[in-house]
Amino acid sequence: MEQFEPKVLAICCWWCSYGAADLAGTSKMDYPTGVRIVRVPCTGRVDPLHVLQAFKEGADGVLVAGCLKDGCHYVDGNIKAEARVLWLKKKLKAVGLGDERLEMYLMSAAQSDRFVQAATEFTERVAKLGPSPLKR
Amino acid sequence: MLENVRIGVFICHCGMNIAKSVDVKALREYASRLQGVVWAEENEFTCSETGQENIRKAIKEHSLNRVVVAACSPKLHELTFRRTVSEADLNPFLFEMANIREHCSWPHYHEPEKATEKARHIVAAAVERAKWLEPIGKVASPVKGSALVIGGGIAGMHVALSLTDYGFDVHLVERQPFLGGRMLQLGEVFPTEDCSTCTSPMGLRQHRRCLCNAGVLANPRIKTYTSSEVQSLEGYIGNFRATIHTEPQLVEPTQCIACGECERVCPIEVPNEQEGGLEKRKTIFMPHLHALPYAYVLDPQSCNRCGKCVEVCPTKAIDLGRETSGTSIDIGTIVVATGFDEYQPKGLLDYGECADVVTQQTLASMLDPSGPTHGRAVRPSDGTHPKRIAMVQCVGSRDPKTHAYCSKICCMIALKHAKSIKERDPTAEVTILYKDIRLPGRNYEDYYYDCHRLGVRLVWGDALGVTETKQGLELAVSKGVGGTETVGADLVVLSSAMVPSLGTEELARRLGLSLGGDGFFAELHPKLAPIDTRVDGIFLAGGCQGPKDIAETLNQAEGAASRAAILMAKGQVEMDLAKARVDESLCIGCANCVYACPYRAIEMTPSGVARVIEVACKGCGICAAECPAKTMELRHFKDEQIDAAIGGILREA
Repeated sequence: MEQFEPKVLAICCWWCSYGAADLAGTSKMDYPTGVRIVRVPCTGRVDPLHVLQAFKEGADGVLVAGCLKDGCHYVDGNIKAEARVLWLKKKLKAVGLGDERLEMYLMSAAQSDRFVQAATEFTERVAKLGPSPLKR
Repeated sequence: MLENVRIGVFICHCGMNIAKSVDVKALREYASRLQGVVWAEENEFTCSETGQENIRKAIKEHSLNRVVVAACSPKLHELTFRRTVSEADLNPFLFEMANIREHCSWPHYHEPEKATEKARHIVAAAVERAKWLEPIGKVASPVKGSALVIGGGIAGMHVALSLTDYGFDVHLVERQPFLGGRMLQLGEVFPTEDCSTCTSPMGLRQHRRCLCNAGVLANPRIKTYTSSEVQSLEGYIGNFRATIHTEPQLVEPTQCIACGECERVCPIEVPNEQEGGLEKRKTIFMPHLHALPYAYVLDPQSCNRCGKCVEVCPTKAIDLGRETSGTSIDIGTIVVATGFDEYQPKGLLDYGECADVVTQQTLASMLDPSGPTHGRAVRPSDGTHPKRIAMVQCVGSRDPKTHAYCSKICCMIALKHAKSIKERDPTAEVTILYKDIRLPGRNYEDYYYDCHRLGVRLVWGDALGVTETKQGLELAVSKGVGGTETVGADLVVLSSAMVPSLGTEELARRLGLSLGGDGFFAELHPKLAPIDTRVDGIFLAGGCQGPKDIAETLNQAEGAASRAAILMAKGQVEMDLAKARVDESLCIGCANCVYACPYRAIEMTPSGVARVIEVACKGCGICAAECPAKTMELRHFKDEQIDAAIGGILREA
């Protein structure tokens, strides 16, 4: 059987992880091609409904990547996003999708290594979980 | 979604940067088949003048109403292409960029097939999102031509004077009853060793003793509020309203002629905090020889209201019945210059227990020719002249237990004082106990050589403790592998840390500013916006932002004045309306957005619905995610626009 390559949506904050992903590219750092990036001005903009939309559209996993603690461009959007992600993970578990298909990562725009690590680790984790049950 | 979307997709080879791993031709063919796309083309370098001209031409020829450029990161060229499309009369926000270089061809260069597939997803996402894009206009808001400067020290006074030079009115608010701040407490200041009493409030323009007639107080454009604090702030850039609370001015400064009759009859004496408590003062007192305004001050805490001063005052300047007052002012910009305090290292090295352990601030007062001891160092315990002086560096600085940061100016202060003591009394023994000597300023290193020449002893190590003996104090020193040493001293001087001035946290709350981990005011960006704050229109100057010497403070003060003046000179702020918007007919009035907004950019209207103050909004979209009624939205990142991108990037291609 061919190895399962998950579709991962990375919702990236414009001020940190989007730039970290840019830098990873500039540095020719490798991460799974299944990781697809959508930009938001701040992870504080991310509504749980956007995450649900991603699962509806066929994502096997969603990672939300915001600024480091005390590093949010908009003061505390990352903290609010983290709280929403934690809340939503519980709901995802309750509805049977599991809480491991959603994760929040924090990084600065200079931490391309952290982006690559998050993208790689999260993809490996979702690969082990298999395709999203919504697609079966 | 707009009916009849006509999208043009422009795919960039970026030389070989994209074309090496992404099959650009196949990508163009794919893009041309996407719904809504009426034109797709490849360019060698889309950002080149030829590439941009191709976009402008295609917009006209194919009546495009949306443009997608698949190329590098939008961080690089989004603004370029927004300008390109607006040159062809298309609203700049009807442009979308697909990042197929940084996010695709570069990281996945060794997997061309997969990279091409991923590029298809990225382009599909941009096309889907483009369908939902809406034109976005600009908003302009007037900026009032007056500024509020908080803090009347060297930074605040300098900002105030500069702003009047630019032609603006200034409200200068100082908590103390007089102007001058920390610098008023110093004698000579490095690196020029001119008397701070001359340089402080006026720069080089005027001797301070002449300031009653000139300078800040005499400047008709500066309104000074002493014994005052900013109590509240509302509004936004260009249009702030501040409430200033003024303590009762029991002695009216404009009427006081500084004759001193009141002080002579006042029966109460308390320690003088301005001079490190070295001397006593009356309840009614002249705070400093060079205080401005040059007027007596009555300290209401220690006053017993005997009324003797009122009787003798020849100008009837004293009225014990005066009450606190409040003033409301409207301003366009604000500069915060609230300075720093010297850390009081209570419990460290017997400070606070042994009278002859003092801080550099106290020593500076002693060495000030117009200070309490007229320029002589003394032992506070018995008033004798100390022959052996030991200084300890980094007290409360560079120590995670107190403050992890370097206070930056203490090395220079210690060397300056050591030099000054040795020059006045070559037989004095001065020892400086240090961890590192840090002198990075221009001409600062000279002090190091001067101190060596004068015989100042520099000892590397950690202070272990101070013990009092019959012969004076003994400072125990650990020199690492060099063993231990005991330094005898008549006076121990601690180079204590610079800390945020008292009330910094409260002021930050009132102004909506944030603080750094060190407790000082946080700038917007340490390198790229070192004077701006998270609130547009509020700027920082001087020690309130972290340890600085006088030269650095003045540099920043000039910068802050200029930042504020730029806004006021333009007279208005203009910005893109890519900001939050509320549908008032659907708003349920829960005010979640008001609490969630980090910028106080949302208010509740009298009818109980949310209203966005567009000039104050910074477009983070936190409110839109918090809104339970889905009635708050962020233009350019609306729910349907984000969802369209998510759908596009995840769909099979």
